[in-house]
Amino acid sequence: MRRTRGLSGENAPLTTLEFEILLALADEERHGYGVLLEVRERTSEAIQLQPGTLYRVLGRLHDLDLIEESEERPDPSLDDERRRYYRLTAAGLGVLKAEARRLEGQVRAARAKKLLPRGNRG
Amino acid sequence: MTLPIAVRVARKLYRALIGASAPRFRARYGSETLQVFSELARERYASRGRLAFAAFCGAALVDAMATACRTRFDPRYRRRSDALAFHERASHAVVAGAALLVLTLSIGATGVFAHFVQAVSTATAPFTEAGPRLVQMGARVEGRAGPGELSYPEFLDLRSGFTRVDAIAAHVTYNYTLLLPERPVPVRATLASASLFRTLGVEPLLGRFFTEDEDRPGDVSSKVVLSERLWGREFRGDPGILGSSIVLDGDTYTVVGVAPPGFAFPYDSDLWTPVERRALRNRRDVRRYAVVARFEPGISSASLHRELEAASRFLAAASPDAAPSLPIAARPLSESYEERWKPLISFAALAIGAILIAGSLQVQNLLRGEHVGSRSSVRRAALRGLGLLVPAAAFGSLIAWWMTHLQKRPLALALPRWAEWEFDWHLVAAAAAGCVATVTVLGIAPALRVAWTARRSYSRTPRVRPVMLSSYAALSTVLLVTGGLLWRTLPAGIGSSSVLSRPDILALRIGVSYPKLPRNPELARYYADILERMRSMTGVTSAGGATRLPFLASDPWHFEEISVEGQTALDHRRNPRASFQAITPDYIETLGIPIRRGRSFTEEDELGTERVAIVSDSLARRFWPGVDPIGKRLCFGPPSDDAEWHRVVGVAADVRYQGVPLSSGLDVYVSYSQHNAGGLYFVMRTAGDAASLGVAARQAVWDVDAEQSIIEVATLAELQENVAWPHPHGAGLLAILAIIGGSSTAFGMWSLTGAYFAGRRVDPTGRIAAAELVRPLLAVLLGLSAGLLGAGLALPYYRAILHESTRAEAATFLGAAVVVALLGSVPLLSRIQRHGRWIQT
Repeated sequence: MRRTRGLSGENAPLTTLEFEILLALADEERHGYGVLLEVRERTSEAIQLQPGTLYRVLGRLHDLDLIEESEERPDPSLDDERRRYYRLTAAGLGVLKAEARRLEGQVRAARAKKLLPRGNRG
Repeated sequence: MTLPIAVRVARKLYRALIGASAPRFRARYGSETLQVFSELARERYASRGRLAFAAFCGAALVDAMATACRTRFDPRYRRRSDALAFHERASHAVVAGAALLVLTLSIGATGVFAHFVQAVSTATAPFTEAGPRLVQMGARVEGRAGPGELSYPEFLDLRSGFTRVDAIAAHVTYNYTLLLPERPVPVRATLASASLFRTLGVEPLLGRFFTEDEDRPGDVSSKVVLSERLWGREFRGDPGILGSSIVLDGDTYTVVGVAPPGFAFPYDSDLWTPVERRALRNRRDVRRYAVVARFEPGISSASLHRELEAASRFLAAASPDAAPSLPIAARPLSESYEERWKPLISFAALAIGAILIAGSLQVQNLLRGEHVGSRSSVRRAALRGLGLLVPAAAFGSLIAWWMTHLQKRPLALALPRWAEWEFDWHLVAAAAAGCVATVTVLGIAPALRVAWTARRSYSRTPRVRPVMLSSYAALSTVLLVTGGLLWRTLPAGIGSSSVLSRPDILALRIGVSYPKLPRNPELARYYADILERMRSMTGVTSAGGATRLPFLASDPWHFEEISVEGQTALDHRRNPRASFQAITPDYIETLGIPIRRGRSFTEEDELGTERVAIVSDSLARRFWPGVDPIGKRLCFGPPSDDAEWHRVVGVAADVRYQGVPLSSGLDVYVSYSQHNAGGLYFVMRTAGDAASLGVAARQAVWDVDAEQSIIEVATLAELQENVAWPHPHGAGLLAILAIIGGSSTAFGMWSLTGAYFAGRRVDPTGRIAAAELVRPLLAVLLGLSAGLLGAGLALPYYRAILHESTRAEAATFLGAAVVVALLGSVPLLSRIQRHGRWIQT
């Protein structure tokens, strides 16, 4: 079933990969390879994005106006001009926060049902 | 850095698989996907061993296959980006059609233009055996490009002043009425010294030219040589014409010869007569003769210069102080034709060149809209380019043929060889080839280069640079100004100027031969009676008369050398000549010529009262800069105590009496009642259909004089269709071409704006979004300013060939600026509306 999401995204869960990619962009702008490395490192290689999948998801998020290309570039000596940098849009940030809250609620519910130990908040 | 072979092989495989993904995905992310894969592969290969590398490659290749399949079925990648979709859906067909139209018209116009240039450059071909030795000579007048005219006595003196001249001749044009049994026919005559034909080196088709003996004062056996065109048209090419008599302005002439085909020297003569009758041949102060001379073979330019200096000294010694001579200047005869048409050639070349460049840019825009990032894009762009060029070249050549073969009259030029001028497919082919080469270099090649660069790199749709938007804005502005000025200049009422002809004005020309009529005041009364009858006609609101009508005065008798009070005889020689009209009091009101200052003539301005004059704006500025000319005095001829001084009583708007490009705008009107100025044109302003009053107008003349012959009755607009240039159709075609080129280029900005935004993302914070929108807007404004500046710099060219009207110029510039600004900014404003919510955040 095709999922449809508006920009508010309050009631529309993100896929795991979408959430991970948005999360990778939450603290700074990154290029595609940087996103891939950040996700891999943060998830301890539990999620290993393939390039094709990465850009399919980036394209989808871009079309939903959740991310955008950044015009600002790092120092040219450190930069590869072929790379494009991505960052969250205001809408993307809102959707990411909503999804994080939703996941937080899920975690709370899991704790209430004693599926998770209490006091294990990160 | 050299990649290990395994990585290179894996990269090639990966590229092939990603290459199978949807074109939109490939164009957007293809190169980045490949780059990320390469970096990961290198890292795995270097740090994790070959097994991990193989596992990674396997997973990545499967992922690439999945990507290829999924993007192929993803509707987001089946359509183009929004900018390209707009381009494709809304305007692709329009842009293609406009580009095809502009290219076709450009090629057609270039083909016609090539004929035009050839006609001008070969104008002297009938007598080119004399080559560069054939020169036009005359007084060196300050501020005038070519030699000025001489008086007949000066010509006779000059003839004796040269030692290395083979032949020298003087000539002047004159308008006659040829009285045929069935009707009077206006003809254009050249009064020439008998040496003219020998000087030019032409031989008659029939009979002979007149001799020196037939060109002497007192000779009354007037001879005439007919042009082959007049002989064929009015005498059906009858070889028995030799020795027969014809009547010109009431005088009988004997036909002694027929000129060779195509010979119409100096421009469009129907016949040639000796100067003995009318030529003011004894007046040293009336300079109306053009002089042409043929020098000895092999004369060097230094010798020619010495000859001219010697002749100048000789002439100065022979000239009395009251009518001083000026130094003699000379130039090749061919240059006189080139100079006459130079402004028009330059103007047409600029206009057609701008249209062609506009067409090329449109083609480039169209082909850049082709999808890039696929291997077939180069081939597709090339085929599309060919698909535009081939029909454009074919239809353009057809248009050139149609214009030069079937529509020759609208393009009529006053050139000696115009009548024999024919369609030349070599010229059209060369013009088409030149246009195709231009479009290929400026339009197709850049687009192909973009497609070629992008064919394997999977780069995004190439960006349109702001300079492209600026070029569009500049070109469309120049073309719209050009088209607008031309359009507003057109006679027949579609122009804007009230001093040009209008279809509600009926003109009537009588076949009067004024030496046979009584002189003033009887002559003035005769015309006044006719005008009174005309005013009483139903539907006529006013009527007047003038010796010349706008655009229809092309003979040198129309000009007078004037002097203003305070000038010396030498100043007078250096003055530009002014067009001269003797008019009745109601003429200015009937034609609607605005009076800027002072008054028009009244019935009180008659013989016996102080002579009065009305001058044009340009003449007032030329002779009395910054001073009110009302009350000042001028005279015709050199200033002297016994000259007939005229007091300026009014200033009128400039009128192009000679048509363009020859009119200077220096006009003097005198009261007809105070002058013996010859025949009149009658003009009637009508409230309804002017053409339907022709019969009544004829009757008004015959009510006064039942024997009076009438040459023609037509609306002023119809009469002006016979002027050499700009023929309303010829100028209209160029105007339409420029307007189409300008409009399509301006509309091209719409789709170009769409292409500009293709691949550009707008920043949600508003700051960069605004900058993204402002940049193209600035580019459009910059181009618009450059276009206005360019058109402003070209204004002297416009003025050289167009009717001068400051208000019309300002309005045209403003109109073009508004159109370009609107068409350039509306697509940007629509972008702002689309992204408004982003800008507001």
